[in-house]
Formats: sequence, C-alpha cells, structure tokens
Amino acid sequence: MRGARRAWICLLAPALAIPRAGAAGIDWNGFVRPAYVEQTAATRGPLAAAVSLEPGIAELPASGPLLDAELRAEGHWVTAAGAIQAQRPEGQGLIRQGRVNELYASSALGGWQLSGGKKIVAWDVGYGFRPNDFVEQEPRRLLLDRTPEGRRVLTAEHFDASKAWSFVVVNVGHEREERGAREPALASRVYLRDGPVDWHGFARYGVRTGPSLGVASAWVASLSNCTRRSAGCTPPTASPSMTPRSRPHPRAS
Amino acid sequence: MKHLVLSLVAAALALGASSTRAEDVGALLKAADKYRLSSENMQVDTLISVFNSDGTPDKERRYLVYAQTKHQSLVLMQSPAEKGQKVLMLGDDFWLLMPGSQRPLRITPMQKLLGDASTGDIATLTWAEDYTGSVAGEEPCGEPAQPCLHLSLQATRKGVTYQRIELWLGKARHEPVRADLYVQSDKLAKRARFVMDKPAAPTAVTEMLLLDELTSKRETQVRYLGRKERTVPEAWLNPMFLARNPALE
Repeated sequence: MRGARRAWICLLAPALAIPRAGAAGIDWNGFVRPAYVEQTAATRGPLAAAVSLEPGIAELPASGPLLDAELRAEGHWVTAAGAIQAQRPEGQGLIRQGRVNELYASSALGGWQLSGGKKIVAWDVGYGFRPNDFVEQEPRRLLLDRTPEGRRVLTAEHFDASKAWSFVVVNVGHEREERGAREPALASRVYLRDGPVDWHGFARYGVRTGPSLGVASAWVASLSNCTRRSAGCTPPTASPSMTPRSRPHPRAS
Repeated sequence: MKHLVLSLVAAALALGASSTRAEDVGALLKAADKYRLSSENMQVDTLISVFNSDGTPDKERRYLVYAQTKHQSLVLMQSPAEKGQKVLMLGDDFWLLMPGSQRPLRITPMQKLLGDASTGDIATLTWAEDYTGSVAGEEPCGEPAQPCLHLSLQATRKGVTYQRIELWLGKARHEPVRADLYVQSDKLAKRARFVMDKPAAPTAVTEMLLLDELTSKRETQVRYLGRKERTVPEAWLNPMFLARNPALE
C-alpha cells in the first residue's frame, strides 16, 4: 500500500510542477491521464482451449486502474520529454514503467535546422495507415494511444515556403544486426507543396534491409461537395501512398 | 424624336452608373477591410467567447493570428486547453497541426474553431480580394439606425468560407455594420454584426458578433484585442516546418 501511495505521489509531482511553466526560459507542459481498463480473455480460440486444459499456461488480460503521465520541457536548445505509467491489474501488484521519450539538442546553421539525440521523427502522411513511417515505425492499433519513444538520431532539415528537405541518421550506435525499428539506417525526405497537393518523397538505406523508396501525396478531394451538403462537415481527405521497397520492411510491434 | 433622345441619354446614364457601381464595390470593400486589417501583414490577437441562447457565457478561447499577403494566415491557439495547436491557411488549403503529432491534417475553412466561429472567420480578414458584386441599394441599418450601403457579394474563389455575403457598410465612412453569410447551398449560415471602437468616428472593428442561423442560435463574440504589423518568416507558412512543433512566439 505504501508503495502504491509513493507511485501516485511520483506521478502527480510533474503535474503539480506544470503551473511553473515559463520559469527561467524553459517551457514546460504535460498531462496526467487516469483510466480504468476493463478487459476479459476470449472464451473461444486455441489460447482459451489451452488455458482451460492447463490454467496458468499463458498470461491473461486483467482489468484495473491505469495512470499515464507525461512531462515535456523545452529551452536553451534542449528538449526533453519523459513518461511514467502505473497500473494495478486485478490480482497483481503495482506495475510502474518510466522512460525518456525524447532528449535532444537542436540548433540552426545557415538555414539548416540541426539536431541530435533521442527524438521522435514521424514522416508519415497516412490517415488510416502509415506506410511511410521510415524512421519512427510506431506501434499502431492501440486502444489507448501513447506517445512513441524517440530514436537515436542525427537530423539536418531545411525549410522554405513550399519545400522541406530532411536527412536523418537513425539508430546511431546500434548493432548492425538489429531488426525492425532498431535497425541502423540513413533516411531522407523531400516535401513539395504544389497548389492543393502535398507531395512527399522518401529514401532509406537500412544496414540490414538495404534500400527503400517511397512516394506519397495528399489533397482534399472534394471541398465543393462538402460545403454543398452542410455547413460544418469534413470533406473526404485523399491520401494515397505508395512505397515500393527492395525487401519487406519490418515494423515495430 | 425628343423621346428617343431622352431615352438614349437615360440609357447612357444608367450604363455609366452601373459600371461606376461595379468599380465602386472594389473600393468600398477595400475601405471596409481597412477596419479589420490595416496592413497586408498583420498580427491580430483574438478572443472568442461563446454565449448560450439565454445569454450566459459558455466557453472562451484566445488565438494569435498572423494574417499575411496572398491569402496566407497562421492561427496559434493560446488557451491552455488548446495550447500548441495551429491552423495554417494557404489560399484555398487549410491544415490543422496538433502538438502531439508530426502529421499535419488537412481541414476545410468551415471547420469550427469554437462556437460558431469557423477557421475562415478568424484567419480570413479581407473581402476585397475574395468577393465581387454590386451595390444593391441604400437602406438604414445598425443600432441606432444609420444610412447604409447594401452590397450583394459573390465569392471569386472556391476556398472562402461563405459563397455569398449580403454586406451593409456605413454610407459615410464605409465601415462594416452587419453581414448575412451564406454557404454554398445558399443557406443563411450566420448573421454578423460589427462593433467599432468609436461609433462617432470609427477607425477599427473591435468585435464581430456571430449569430448561428442554421442550428444553435447561439451567439459567438470575436474580439480583436490587439493588432500590429508583422511579417513572419516564410518557413512559418510551411506545414512541414510547423509539424516539428517549433516555438513561434
């Protein structure tokens, strides 16, 4: 019980610190999200059959309270973001997890934005799916979305009114044999806004998986149909995306 | 013969008057725009308050609007509940940028910021470049009633929030007094009233009151708290730059 109380205090402390935002040139923000997860194991299927024959053979989902807290600080060229999660599934003790999602330094040099450290770099434009997520490779289809954990990167980016260039060395220092989202790679993206259409081009070279190329575009398909229908509707947003690759591209799971 | 000459003279005068009126509408709209946007590149601090149908206050949000040339605007949400959110308008194209995401979302100018104030109401502050039309006549308008010019306006491009506007300007100074705003289906969506800083000698619009005519009948008050000339760096108008969640203020 004392451990649980200590955990709650640890989680609430960052939230209490938020009103001091702006102190000493540092911008703070964050959130605390309490939730209760209700889940039961399926009663049909091979896993259910195995558990009925031998209880305890597999870990079953358990309901219980859940608390997510995240704190982000920016200032003096450094950005840091950390998250803590605490949950108490039924029949189990308190489970606490903490991690640093981002910690990187950034600066500008001759029109280029440079940064290095642990950083979230998400390039995708897909709304229902994200095939161009070359760097971050986030887990998806989560019931409760969590801020992804950044990758170790070195980035150089250039922006003007309608174009953007990005070059990234990702998973710096990782072993050559690492797989999925942990694979060391070079990646680049070019963005071009051509009137109503956004164009995105991608290139990646993974140490293990080799070269990959991708292209994507997004536009609002039918604004006039939408406004004709009602005053406050959302028009269909088209976002076709095509990503030819030399080999199947592994994803984080 | 005398009748024919008189008819020709009358027709010539009518033609001259109509062409003068068409030219005048552009000048009238430019004059009216000056009361909301005194320069081409501006920073406008805006407060939106929503009131229930019984007049009680509901919600309040603050926005910082960078209105730039060539139909380009950037809206930064300032209230704690929305801090970090941005809306970018480039011509007919709108993007919403959320602080927790690096994926800009395309939206329409009709999508609401708060209450009955749509993105276009806040980000688009000029009529002269987007509308053309004619002077429908002179009639009293406002409270207290004053002589007004009634303009019937049609949009000249598809990305504007309202396809048709019936606009009433003060006859003497051409300040905006009220407007009926119609969507593309030609339904009356909102009625707007404009509050000036000095009613006797107005120099700027301080408030726009929007009454929803489609559904809620609630009133939304858009207050312009401060205006100053400001040109933002061109990269600020690139959705990919904004997606990195840079500090802009």
